[in-house]
Amino acid sequence: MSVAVRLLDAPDTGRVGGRLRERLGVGGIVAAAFVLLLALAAAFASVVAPYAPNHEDFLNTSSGPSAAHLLGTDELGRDILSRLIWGAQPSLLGPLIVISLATVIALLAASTAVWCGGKVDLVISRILDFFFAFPGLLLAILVVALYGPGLLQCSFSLGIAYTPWIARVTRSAMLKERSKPYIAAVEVQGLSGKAIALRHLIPNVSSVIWSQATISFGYALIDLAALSFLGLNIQPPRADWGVLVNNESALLQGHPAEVIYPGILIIACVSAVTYVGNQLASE
Amino acid sequence: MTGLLEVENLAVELRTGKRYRPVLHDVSFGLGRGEVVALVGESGSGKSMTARAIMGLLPPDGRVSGAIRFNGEDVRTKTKGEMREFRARRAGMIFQDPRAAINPVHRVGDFLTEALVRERGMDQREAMKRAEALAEEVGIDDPRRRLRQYPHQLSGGMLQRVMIASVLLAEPELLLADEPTTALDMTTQAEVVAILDDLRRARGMAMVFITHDLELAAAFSDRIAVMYAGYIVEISTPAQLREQPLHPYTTGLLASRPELRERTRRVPQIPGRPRSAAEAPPGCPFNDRCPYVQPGCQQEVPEIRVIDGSLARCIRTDELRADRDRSVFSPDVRPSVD
Repeated sequence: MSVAVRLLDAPDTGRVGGRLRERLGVGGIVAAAFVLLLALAAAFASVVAPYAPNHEDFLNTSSGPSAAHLLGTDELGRDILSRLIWGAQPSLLGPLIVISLATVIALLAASTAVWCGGKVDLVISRILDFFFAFPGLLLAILVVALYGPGLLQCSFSLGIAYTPWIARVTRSAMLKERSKPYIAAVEVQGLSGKAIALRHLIPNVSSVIWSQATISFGYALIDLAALSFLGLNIQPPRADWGVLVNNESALLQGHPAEVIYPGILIIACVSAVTYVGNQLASE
Repeated sequence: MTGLLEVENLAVELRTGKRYRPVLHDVSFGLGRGEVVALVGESGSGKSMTARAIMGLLPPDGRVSGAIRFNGEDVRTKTKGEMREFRARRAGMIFQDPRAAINPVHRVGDFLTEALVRERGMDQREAMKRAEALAEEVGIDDPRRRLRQYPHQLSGGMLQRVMIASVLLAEPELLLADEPTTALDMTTQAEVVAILDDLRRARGMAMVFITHDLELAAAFSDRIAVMYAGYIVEISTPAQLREQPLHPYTTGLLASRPELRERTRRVPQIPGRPRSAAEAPPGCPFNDRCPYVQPGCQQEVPEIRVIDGSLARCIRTDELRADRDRSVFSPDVRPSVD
């Protein structure tokens, strides 16, 4: 009896954390930990990386793995491991900018559309459809053509291009919530549309938003790497993983490892992020 | 009837796809300060829609005509800001299923204080104090602890009390209770209704009480409006309604209550099934189920008329008043319909 009472009255601390763990599963936690590790390595690159990214060891060019250079050096004698770690900074920061921007605009658009309904919804939905029709890479190339290459240019244009993807899913989830009685109940209390959207609508569709943002992170990482590969994003000598993959001389000289490492990192990181996103989306 | 609320010729059509579907026709009733009007009817008869229309909760693409006057001002012409003020201070609404009507992600206390803090700029602590006091009044034990819990930790009856408290906190002049006890079990129902009525009385609030339970409506309303297929078919005092129902539909409803004392083979019933406003036949909406139907009933919708101080929407009321033989609805004398 007392046990039952205790159970019923147990405080709810850690409820959200527990549900998150349940949702992610073992695989999801491993994947999330992997991405987190990469992010930490990127953030503390100056501590973690054995060398500065552009430090050139002239005596050891294009060398294989050694004690001094765990993954070897490139044709200019730069430490490959260090370049990968430093390269993680723009590689991860870019997608973060993309999804932050896209999520903020998408939430604004979706909640306005859902709250106002009718014609406003129609107009917003059509604008979103218009951007749907616009390929993200093409938009980025256009912006780069106008404002020159760079991480910000690419991230911002991809952020715009990714908005409709997040907005559309969020809108439909919100539409379902909008007609539920608890929204009417706060509406009749006289709460403003803004307050209801922020405090009630968005929190109740947060799992959809999180999963969409996470999955989009993976896509953005690939797109930004592709832009780098094309020479439109990060400019040498600075490098992200996309730039590192684009190293013909290494291939020509028979050192494919230099190109394979960043490729593996991109694939592993995108897979991990997408897996986490899918786990978040599963009910 | 010097009214707090006057609803006049309210008609509502809602959009489904490209077509407009009627849900309310010519709904008119008035409510004085401190009065209770019960809206009674089957599902789909337009009770809830009437309440939603008063609160301005209809979908934006619906078509509404008629007037809803509150203290003489038309609610429908209010701006967004005025509407929020109206909802925050003048009129409150209680919903059918408290579990669905309270956001599960916030603490119960937050639900209660949200409007006070955000819309009236009250201090959070002050608002919480008032919420706790009121929670105690609606019969929530240990409110301090309860208000810190989440909705899933409270029972349905408790949550409905929370809902009532949330409305009373705003001290509105008008309370709309949309089947506040339908989702609760019998014993809880009685408690919740008693609390609702006590607190309402103490504060002199007027109430529109929506229910499909005639007994409940009769127990504590000043007038009962019977709705069918989006029309009000009769408005009467509980005593008069019981003694002398004017509309055949009301007669049928009264006849089809099971009597505990009598042993009957079968409870009398109204033949056919309830019609929604969109499905109602031309003419009187009840004509396809009415045992007293005449060719005239299918011609046009009868006007609602004053008869003995009550209102009824039936062309034959005068003739039928004498004939109060409810046996027309008994299962043995089944008039052919359809």
